[in-house]
Amino acid sequence: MTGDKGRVAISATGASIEGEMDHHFGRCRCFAIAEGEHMLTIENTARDASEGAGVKAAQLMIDNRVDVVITGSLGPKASQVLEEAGIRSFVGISGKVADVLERYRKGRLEASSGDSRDRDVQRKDRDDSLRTH
Amino acid sequence: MRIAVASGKGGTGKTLVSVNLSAVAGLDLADLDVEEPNAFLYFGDGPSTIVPVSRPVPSIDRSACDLCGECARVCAFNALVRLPQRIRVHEELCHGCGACVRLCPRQAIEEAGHEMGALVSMAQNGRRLVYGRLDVGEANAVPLIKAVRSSLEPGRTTIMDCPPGTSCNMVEAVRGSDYAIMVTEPTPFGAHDLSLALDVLERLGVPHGVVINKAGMGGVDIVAMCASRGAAVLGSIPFRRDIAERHAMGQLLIDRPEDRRTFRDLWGAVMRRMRS
Repeated sequence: MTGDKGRVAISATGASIEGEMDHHFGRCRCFAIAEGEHMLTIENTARDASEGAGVKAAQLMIDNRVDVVITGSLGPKASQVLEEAGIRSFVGISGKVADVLERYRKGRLEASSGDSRDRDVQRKDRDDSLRTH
Repeated sequence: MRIAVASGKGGTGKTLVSVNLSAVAGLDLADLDVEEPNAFLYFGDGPSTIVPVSRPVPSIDRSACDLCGECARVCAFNALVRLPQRIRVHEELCHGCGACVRLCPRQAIEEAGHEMGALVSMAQNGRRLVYGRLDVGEANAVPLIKAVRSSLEPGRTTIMDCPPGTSCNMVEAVRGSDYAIMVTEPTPFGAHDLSLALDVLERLGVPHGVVINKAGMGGVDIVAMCASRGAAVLGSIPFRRDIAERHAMGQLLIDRPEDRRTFRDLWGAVMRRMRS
């Protein structure tokens, strides 16, 4: 990773760094992408997808060579894609984009597994896949 | 000849009409409600043939793929992702449209089969039953509905028990039918969804008529509604406790003479409408 803890994407409700984060990864309005001193906002072109918005947003992260994703909620498929692409993810995060970035850079965000769904659901999915394969 | 039995609202009596009408007229029966097929419960036991049904999904030849990402770009359903080292396929998101196969610049993608369910068929007393059984977790039933439809014998008349609603599954089931029998109930919910379903049939150009089930309850005037929409009323089935009880026990209603007459008359009305 280069810069100040790599290239970071934060799901956001608007273009301003003072704005609030968007809770949804796949269907957020835009992504604030920060690397060192540099910061830009890209439109989330996946948000209007009828299906697979999370997967498409994950592709957007890969195409923009992002190292870290910070968001509120992340589904199982998008989480898997990010993981396979070697992109770290933080979920269940909220607040102002600038504050969240600051917290991340100071090492104050708690690492998480990615998939933000209820743990019981995940456990059930795992059990199901063990049964069928 | 294919005669669809559809409704709009669920629980109006599609299966009740399908199983009794096909039995009284000695016709073949197909259950296209592949997410929850149940018409077989009324067909009797017997040996069945089970054939697995697959849908096409992309299979990528990694030695030919240069990771250009064109497949991921053209996929309308986001089933393909270009990872740094390989293309990842989410088979559950794939609709089998074949765009990636045709548009891959390296011709590195071919279609492979993803098993999605089974086609079950059986025969009894000269009548044939066929139905689709969708695997748990499969989101898109349309390819299986197509498989059931194309397994029907063109020279024989089949009553098709269709899925509820007006979404892709219902559209695929009724599309191209020679006639559609719409089963409704005289409730606001039944009338509302019937109206939506009639819109679909008009768009598809499928001739149709309406059966009023549970006649006597609900209080909505379906006859007037049909008149205003120019839809024929084919007949009605009374709202009676013993009908609900016998149907719930898996019995055919036509075992009782007065109910047998109801379905005979209904079949007569359908035939007259189809001829005119």
